[in-house]
Amino acid sequence: MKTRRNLLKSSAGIAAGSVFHIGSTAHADSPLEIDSQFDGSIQKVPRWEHTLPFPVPVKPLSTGQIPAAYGGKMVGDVLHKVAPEFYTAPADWNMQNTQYYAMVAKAGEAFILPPSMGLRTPFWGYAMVNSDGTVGQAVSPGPQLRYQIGRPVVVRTTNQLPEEISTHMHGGHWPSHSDGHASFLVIPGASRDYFYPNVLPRRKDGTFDISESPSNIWYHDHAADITASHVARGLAGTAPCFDALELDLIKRNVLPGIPGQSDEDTIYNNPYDTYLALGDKVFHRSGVLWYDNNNNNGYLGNVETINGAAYPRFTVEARKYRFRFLGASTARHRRIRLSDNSRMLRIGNDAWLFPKGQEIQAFGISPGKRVDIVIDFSRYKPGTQVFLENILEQTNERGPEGKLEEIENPTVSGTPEFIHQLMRFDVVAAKPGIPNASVTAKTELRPHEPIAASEVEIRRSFRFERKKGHWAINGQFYDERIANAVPRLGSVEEWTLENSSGGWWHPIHIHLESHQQVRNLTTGARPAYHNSFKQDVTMLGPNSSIVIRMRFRTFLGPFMFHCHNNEHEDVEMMFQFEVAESASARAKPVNRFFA
Amino acid sequence: MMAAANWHRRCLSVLFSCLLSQPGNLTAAGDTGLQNKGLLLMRQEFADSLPDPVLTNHRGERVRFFTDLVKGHAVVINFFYADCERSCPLTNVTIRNLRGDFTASFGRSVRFLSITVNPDQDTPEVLARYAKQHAVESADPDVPDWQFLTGNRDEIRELRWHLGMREKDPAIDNDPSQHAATLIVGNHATGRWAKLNPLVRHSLVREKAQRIIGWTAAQRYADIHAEVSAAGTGQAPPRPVLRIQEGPLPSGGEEPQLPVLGVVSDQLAGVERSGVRVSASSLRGKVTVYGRIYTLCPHGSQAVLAAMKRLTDAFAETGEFHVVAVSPSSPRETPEFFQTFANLAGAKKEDPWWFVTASKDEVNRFTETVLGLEPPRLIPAEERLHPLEEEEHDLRLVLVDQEGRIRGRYEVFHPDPFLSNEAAWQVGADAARLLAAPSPDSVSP
Ligand SMILES: [Cu+2]
Repeated sequence: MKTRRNLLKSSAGIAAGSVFHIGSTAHADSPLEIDSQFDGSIQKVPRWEHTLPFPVPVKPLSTGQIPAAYGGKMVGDVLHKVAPEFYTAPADWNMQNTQYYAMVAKAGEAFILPPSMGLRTPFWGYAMVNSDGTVGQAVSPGPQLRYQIGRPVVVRTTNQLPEEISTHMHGGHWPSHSDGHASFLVIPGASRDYFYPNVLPRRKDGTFDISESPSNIWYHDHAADITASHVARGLAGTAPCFDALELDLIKRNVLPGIPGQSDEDTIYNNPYDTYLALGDKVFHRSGVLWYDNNNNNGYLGNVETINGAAYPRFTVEARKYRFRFLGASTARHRRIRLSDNSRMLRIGNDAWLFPKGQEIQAFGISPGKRVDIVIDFSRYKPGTQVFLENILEQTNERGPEGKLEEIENPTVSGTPEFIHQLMRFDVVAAKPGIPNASVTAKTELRPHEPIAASEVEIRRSFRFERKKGHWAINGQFYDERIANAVPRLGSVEEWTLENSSGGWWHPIHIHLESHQQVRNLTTGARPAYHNSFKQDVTMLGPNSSIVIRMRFRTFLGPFMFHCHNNEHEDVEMMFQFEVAESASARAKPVNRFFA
Repeated sequence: MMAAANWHRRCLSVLFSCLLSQPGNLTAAGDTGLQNKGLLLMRQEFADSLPDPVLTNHRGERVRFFTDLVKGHAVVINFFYADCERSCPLTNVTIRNLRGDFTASFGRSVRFLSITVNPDQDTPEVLARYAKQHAVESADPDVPDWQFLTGNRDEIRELRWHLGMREKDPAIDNDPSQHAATLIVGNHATGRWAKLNPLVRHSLVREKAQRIIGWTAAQRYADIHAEVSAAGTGQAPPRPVLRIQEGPLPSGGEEPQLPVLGVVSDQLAGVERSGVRVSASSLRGKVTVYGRIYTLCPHGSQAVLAAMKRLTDAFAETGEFHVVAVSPSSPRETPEFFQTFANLAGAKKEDPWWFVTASKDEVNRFTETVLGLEPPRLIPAEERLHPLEEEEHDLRLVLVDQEGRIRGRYEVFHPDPFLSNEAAWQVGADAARLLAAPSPDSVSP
């Protein structure tokens, strides 16, 4: 294995062709090294040919009244119905402002590989229904929904694929029926009315907890048994969410945007703010995606994509940009930096902004995670090319090389042993008229409300482990009928997440709300800065044990928690907790009322 | 009635054989949106790229894995070896049950393929004997085929790897028991494949397998259609009363009623360890758990006694709960013997827990005809762990409600500790439900 990599290194020195080229092009055109049994795959992929696709924001079909595209069917008048909360929303949920969308999961075809290769790739994605009822083209990443706290949303999702789906809106606070529970499905030909109330949980005194307002939501398929192949085929999309606090930061030009435009209108148009969904794939020589259906350890691709395009380039003005990085791979972990090792400002973890940003040179990102980053390109002369690099080697499904602490270290010392360039930034002069955004590491962003030990009502412990070739939690497997934990509505619990395996990595995702890391039981360490506020995915490296605290508010019913290595999740490292009127220390049958 | 059902099944088989001669049609019939060639390839390439080694089945027929067995079919594959004692028997039970489940719905369009990972030892002759032991051949033409297959060691390993049964660590990879607890379920026509875990509830395994094996959406999602149509008429749902922040409990989510499986209509004529003659009729009005124990059985009875102890501890205080351990009497197993035995099991004198002995015939009659447990199985001499251990007993606990109706049987002793824990938890949960609802519903047996 080392031999092939060394060979690639020695073939370095391809001309950069740029005046102000920064960084090594040693790996240009060479595939990632992976342990794959498939040898018919595409190896050579031209770089920087695609321009970075911006996820397309979509407008609602209507506000306040059911759109014509619903064909006269009331909300809930579809096979899988609507969340019961839709009928019982309190007055301050502003149901009169409800925005209605209709979406279809279906197949599409696009250039994921650079167009000069002439190979179109079939994929599974999402399309919007137009106001006249016609269905648009499927895209992947899917159409971008833009939410605002205080504006409820209904999305009628119809499945035109041959397999069942369940759309999980990852990072938000939703009713059980609409959360994308692994067994609350949309079967082929049927629809489910997903109800996203966009409300914040309430504090004990009844006021809304603005510390819990999410920014970076993404959606992806979550259907039990087949999540991984669906995500790998393209069933994922993005959905930023705004509240008054964040809109004000944009309006005051603290966060990148066009003041007066990016904080207005239904879609908050913003050329200086985009998701970067990181994916990896293996392609047949025909351009068709290759996925090993029976590898339940993890799918690693040898070609990297961003927002559904292999190795794109992105022309940036010499100013600050906000990049919402998204680990959209099913099994690949990455450590990301700029090719000149220059500083970036990290402003959030998963869905939530930090109280204050952190200056970093690199960050780790596992499947399911979001990392909110501001990069200031004003430090570069127009004409400069700078690269986005992954400096974390991972050749097998177990996980990357190295320790979690090293991967998440915010500073990079020396030259990394492994470099794989993902995207090229082409810097041009900033358009006049809009000053550079003002955010720095000193800027106050979103307040944080820590959970105190005295608030904890119940402690539970979950061990993530391998069992007889399958993936288990506390020795047990996912059962759609069993609520493995039953927390009381409005309570706080403390959970220990334990990975006793020496080799495997498990990113643990808990639905419903953020959770807060308390300490690492293995090392005794307090969480690092980026983990000391809120997250919805806690990374468990080999032999580690992390204590978290979490609130369970607003919604009753079952919610998932699981490994976000989607292959592990499928067989069947997944549990559910059911928020109920009274807590139970042991498992109980699930209440199917919410399905 | 039977004839009609059989006719229906036969009819299905004919339908499948027609369809199977044109695999292309199957996809068109069962799926939507797959006219695109690339999409078809995306779904089918996994199976199309499988190796095609020549294997020999237990009937001595030589078959090619992909061409003769997988192409155009739905398959359930497992890796086993004839000497496997721990995981394989459990997996075989799952396969036997799935075969029964799918006879009426899928007939011979689904195949069960058990491939040995020990081909040097598992020759076609060994497999023939193994197949005979498992009574896999059936005269009914609708029972799905179950073949045991052997072949070249290296080719089988390569096939196993391609099917995703590969461990990075060669030591684990070469250990055949590591691969025994997985089913690979696939459908060549629809391109859907998955590894299934036979260690979960059987109905889960069946539902998951059906999603893959099903040729039409109606077959694949039968369970969901059933649940949705049971929940309502397809109209907008009634407004439930639902608590969002502060408010009343949800009104929905009525828990399903426990089934009525029979009635304890008859007495057990036996003697309690106290020496007193007892009768089951005096337990009317109480929730009662019956179980058979066997004082020589080291592990099975331990599990049963432990479950009984937990139940007694949990519910003794209600005064409405009773446990009955039944055992055949022998010169050794006297009431006095059972006093000591019960002490060792943690039963106190005042506990609502009887240890009842009766003649062996009486115990067999009561457990089989009244409690509905399986009759004892004679253990072949060479399988006996103990010279006195002649019979294997059905050690399930039987839950009886206040009206003397049987509401559940629970396998608290199972080779898989997960399943036995689940059963032990379930009997407690169900007993609690019966105790919480003292006025019984009007269901009659
Ligand atoms: Cu995992």
